[in-house]
Amino acid sequence: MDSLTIPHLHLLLNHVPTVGSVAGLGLMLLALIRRNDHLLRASLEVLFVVALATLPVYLTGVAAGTAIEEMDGVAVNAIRTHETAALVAFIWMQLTGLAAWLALWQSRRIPRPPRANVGAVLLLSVLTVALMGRAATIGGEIRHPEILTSPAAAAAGAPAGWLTSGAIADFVTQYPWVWPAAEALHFLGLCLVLGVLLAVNLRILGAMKALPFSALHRFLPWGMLGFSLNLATGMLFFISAATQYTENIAFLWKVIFLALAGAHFLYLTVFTNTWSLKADADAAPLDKLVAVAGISSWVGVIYWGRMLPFIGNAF
Amino acid sequence: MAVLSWLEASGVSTWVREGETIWAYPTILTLHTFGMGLLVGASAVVDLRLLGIGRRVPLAPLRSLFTVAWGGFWLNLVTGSLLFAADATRRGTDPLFFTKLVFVAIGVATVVSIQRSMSNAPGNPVPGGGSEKVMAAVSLAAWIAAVTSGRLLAYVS
Amino acid sequence: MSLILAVTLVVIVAVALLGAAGRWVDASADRHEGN
Repeated sequence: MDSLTIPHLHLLLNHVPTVGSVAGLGLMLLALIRRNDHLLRASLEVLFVVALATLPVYLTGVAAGTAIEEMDGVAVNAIRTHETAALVAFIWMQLTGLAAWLALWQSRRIPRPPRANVGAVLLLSVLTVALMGRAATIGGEIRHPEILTSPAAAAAGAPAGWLTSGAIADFVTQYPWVWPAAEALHFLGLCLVLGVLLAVNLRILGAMKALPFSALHRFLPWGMLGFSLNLATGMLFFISAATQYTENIAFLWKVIFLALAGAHFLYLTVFTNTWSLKADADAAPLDKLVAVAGISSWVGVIYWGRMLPFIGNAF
Repeated sequence: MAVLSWLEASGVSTWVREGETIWAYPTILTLHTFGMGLLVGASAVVDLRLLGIGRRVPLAPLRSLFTVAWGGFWLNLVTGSLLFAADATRRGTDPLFFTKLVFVAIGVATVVSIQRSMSNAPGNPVPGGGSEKVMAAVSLAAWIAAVTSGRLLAYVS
Repeated sequence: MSLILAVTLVVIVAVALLGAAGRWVDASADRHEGN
């Protein structure tokens, strides 16, 4: 694994949002054509997981860009253009994942996912596939002169516009209230996520037995809102000060625990053995173990997040 | 002022502040963050229920969440005292810090009040009770203000 | 001071939006269940 550098990791991972979004969309179309509910739910789960996995793809991409920009044969401006295109694609991928999660949450309590919701996911995933394809094509131009269709694009200057990492970093520098406000929101989001996830997992572990699991399942959207708020504020931090994260081992661990936490969130949303936990019923030992793992993953996220200024750089 | 200087110069405070180990300031700060998450998070779930989220969920069983909230409170009282002591002369004269304490006090008062009202009406969903809704709203607002002013301490003082 | 004011405003707006979104989702769950 020593030879697996960050650029290599990015090249491996970047197949996930590109191929994955196509697979998710394809599965969804198949499900709609065949009017198959199981396939539909599967496609929503795929889209959610792909959205989760797209985070490390973006993060490794920024790190990879820094790592290779001095190399020969690299079109530096293509890196900037690719990064901007990737950010846009990332945002829409997350919106798709969020909409997919919502449909999965809704479909727990009604026979099938709501039509409007599924329609929204369909539209969002089509847009995402297109944007991912665009980002990927530009990405290819960084190091593949054989596919370069317009040399002008590679020679063009840094991308302009407000949704570039440069513009966002400038915004944060120009207005001193942005970073503190984002941090306050990040802490509030943390409280919301921890509160909801703790409540849900504690039921599995045997607290609040008088409630069926489905009662606590009802609160999951608030956990997702906290998670989304923190993803957004977290991205603001990362984009405006990338090197303080990409060169920080604590951040790597935080992202790893985030991935686990995200997977566990999906598990809580869709798995039947937890959903079917009735009032006064006791969960199976394995389910309790998973609940402990779930709580631990959030503890890990908070720990490594709080330790960012101490472990990565100072100590 | 003299008390604050004494506090800040004490052995414990000096260790917290200058101990070149991860177990000092970083760990205490991390525990303080966890305590905040437990206290504000657990309280928020109850508050949301009182404000009408999942209104058919029985209220009484959610009382267990207060155990979590109080656990967070005590953890933060201890860690907060250590953090304060390590920087006593600055924090002890800081209006923003006192603002945070006021909001924490209001939040704690609401938690106590809500916990009491919930133990008096076991099993019954809140009948859209006005006073419980107001208390829940005040609770959320107070905790949001406490967390925000706490975070601002790193930038303003 | 203006920093505190700005941060407060941003937090209030963000929390309000978050709360509205959460309420909407919760209400839609009620609607779908036919409550």
